Parts: sequence; structure tokens; C-alpha cells
Amino acid sequence: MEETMLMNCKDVERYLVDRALKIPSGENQDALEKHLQACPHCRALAQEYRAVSVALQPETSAATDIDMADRVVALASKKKGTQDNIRRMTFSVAAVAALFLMTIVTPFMLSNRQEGTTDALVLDSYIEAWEALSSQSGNATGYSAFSYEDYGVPLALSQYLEDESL
Amino acid sequence: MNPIDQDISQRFRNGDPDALHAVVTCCQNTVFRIGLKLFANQDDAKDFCQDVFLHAFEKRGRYDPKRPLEPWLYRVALNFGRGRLRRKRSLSLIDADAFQHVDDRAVRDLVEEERRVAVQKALMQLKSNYRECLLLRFECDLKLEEIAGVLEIPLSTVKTRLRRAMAAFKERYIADGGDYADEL
Repeated sequence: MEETMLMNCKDVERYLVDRALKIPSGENQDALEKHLQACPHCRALAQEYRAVSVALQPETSAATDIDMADRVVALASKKKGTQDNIRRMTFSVAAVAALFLMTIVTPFMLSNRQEGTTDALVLDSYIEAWEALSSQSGNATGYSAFSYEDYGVPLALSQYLEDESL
Repeated sequence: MNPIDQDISQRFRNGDPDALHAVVTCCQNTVFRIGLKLFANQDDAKDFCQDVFLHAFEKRGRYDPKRPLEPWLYRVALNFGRGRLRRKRSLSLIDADAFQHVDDRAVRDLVEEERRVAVQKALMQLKSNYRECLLLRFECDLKLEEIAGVLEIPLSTVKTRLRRAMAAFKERYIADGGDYADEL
């Protein structure tokens, strides 16, 4: 079996593999054919590689013809829309979370903490400050101490001007 | 079918739906056949094909439009297929019954179906790098240089890998009685 017509079986198998793979291997066609005629082992091998090469060819039957371009484009657009919505929602939630966090953290950041001041005390003073601010808001902050007398208006007249029952 | 030119590649990269349509139209049969070889049934292959295009469109930012789109797409398909096969195996979804799947169309040509099943079984027994080389060579009809580009390995390695893959595939295919060439 070996060394038939200048080619040994190992060489022949390599050529057969290359042929099945359609890789140009510069095979000596005549020597190969002569070896195949003389060697039943390699002839059987050649048939097997032929079968394998055929089996690996792409299937061109109608069963493999598909058309999914429209569907893929529609799904891609839908997916993009969903992703945009998620991105928008994530941004909104992140913004709210940041605001909430700022509200919680601000008192601790802005307070001049003395040694021994607990977080609870800082929060209490913060809440008091808010309450004081809201109680002033009815008087338009900054104008609550307004007095006509400061501007030289006589007392009686200023009382008249400040009388809310009029 | 028009090949994918650089204009389509660039527009695909930019997220143009018309370009996606053109890419799917051009490559769907090849990607579907890869799916068919990997998963052995048409439903899985269709799902795979659809998901590959959606995944590729999602990851289009990684594509370099100066290079051909098809090899990049096939690389995405192979990576995607590898992941899906791994998940399927871990869920034990691939079993003997999966290879027995014969749908209505295939019933008309039982020999064809048997050959497909035998090819798929033999491919599944190969190492994944051998399997991918054969799929790129036969299903995607890529040149050796293109396969080297897709797999990012030297040309000489592609040749060696293909030869070993072919020999290994032949052993398994013939051992499973998959010699249907004479019957076709």
C-alpha cells in the first residue's frame, strides 16, 4: 500500500483533505490518480472525503430560504424605542434620587458641626430652621420688621397705615 | 443579491434601518445555515439568525466600517452561537431527541434530512475551533485569508486547523454511518 507510484498514502491523504477543503495544494494529479488506482485503501479514503465534502456543502434547498429582513428591522426599532424609554426613565429616577440625596445630605454638609454634635441634633436644628423660614414666609421675608416710623412717618399715621382692619 | 458595499456598511454602523434591512437580506441565508448546522432544527436556526442580526445591530459600534462587514458579522454569529450552545448544553436541551427532529418539509427528502442530522452530530463532536473553521469555509464560503481575519489567527494556523478539522470530521461522520454521498 505504501510508496505506490512515488506517492505514499500519507501524502495522498493530505492531498485528499486539501481537495475536500478546496485548498490548492499543487498536487501532482497524475501521480495521485495512479496511486488511487493502485491503492484500495486510498481509493476508499478518497470516496469518504468526497462524501464529507458533499455533506459539508451549504444546503440550497427551499427550506433554507428565509426572509426575515422586515421582522428584524421592526424588532430593532422596537428594541431601540424600549432602550430609549429605559434611558429616559433611568435619567429621571437618577435625578429624583440625586435631589433626595442632596436634601438629606445638605444639613450635614452645611452645618458647622461642633465636636460632640450628633446627627440627630443637626437634623433637629435643620428642621427648626425650615420651620422658622416657613413661618416668616407669610410676611414676605425681609419686610416683617418694616416700620413707617423708621421713615419719619408720625406714630398716629403709621398706626393708621398698619391697621389691617381698614 | 447585492453584496454589502462600503456605503451600506457605513450606514449600518450609523444605525440606519435601511442598511440593516440590506444586510439581513444579503446574509440571512448564510447565518441561517450556520444556525441549522449548530442547532439541527429550523426553529432554533431561525431564532438564532434573527438574534444574531439584532445582536450585531446592537453592537455595531464595535464594527470598523473600513473593513468588510460580512466577516465581522460571521464572527458575531459564531460567538453568539457558541454562547447559545453552551447555555443549551447546560440546560441539557440538546439530547438524542433533538437530532431526531424531522419537520414537514424534510419528510419529503428523508435522505437529505438524515445527512443533515449526521453532519450536525459530527460537527457537534468536534472542538469548537475546528467546527468554526469548517463553518466559515463551507457555509460562509470565506477564503482562507478571510477566515484568518475573522478568527484573528495566522493563515498557516487556519490551514492546519482546517486540515485537522476535516480529518476529525470525516472520522466522526463516517463512524456514524453518514456516508450519504452516493445516495444523493
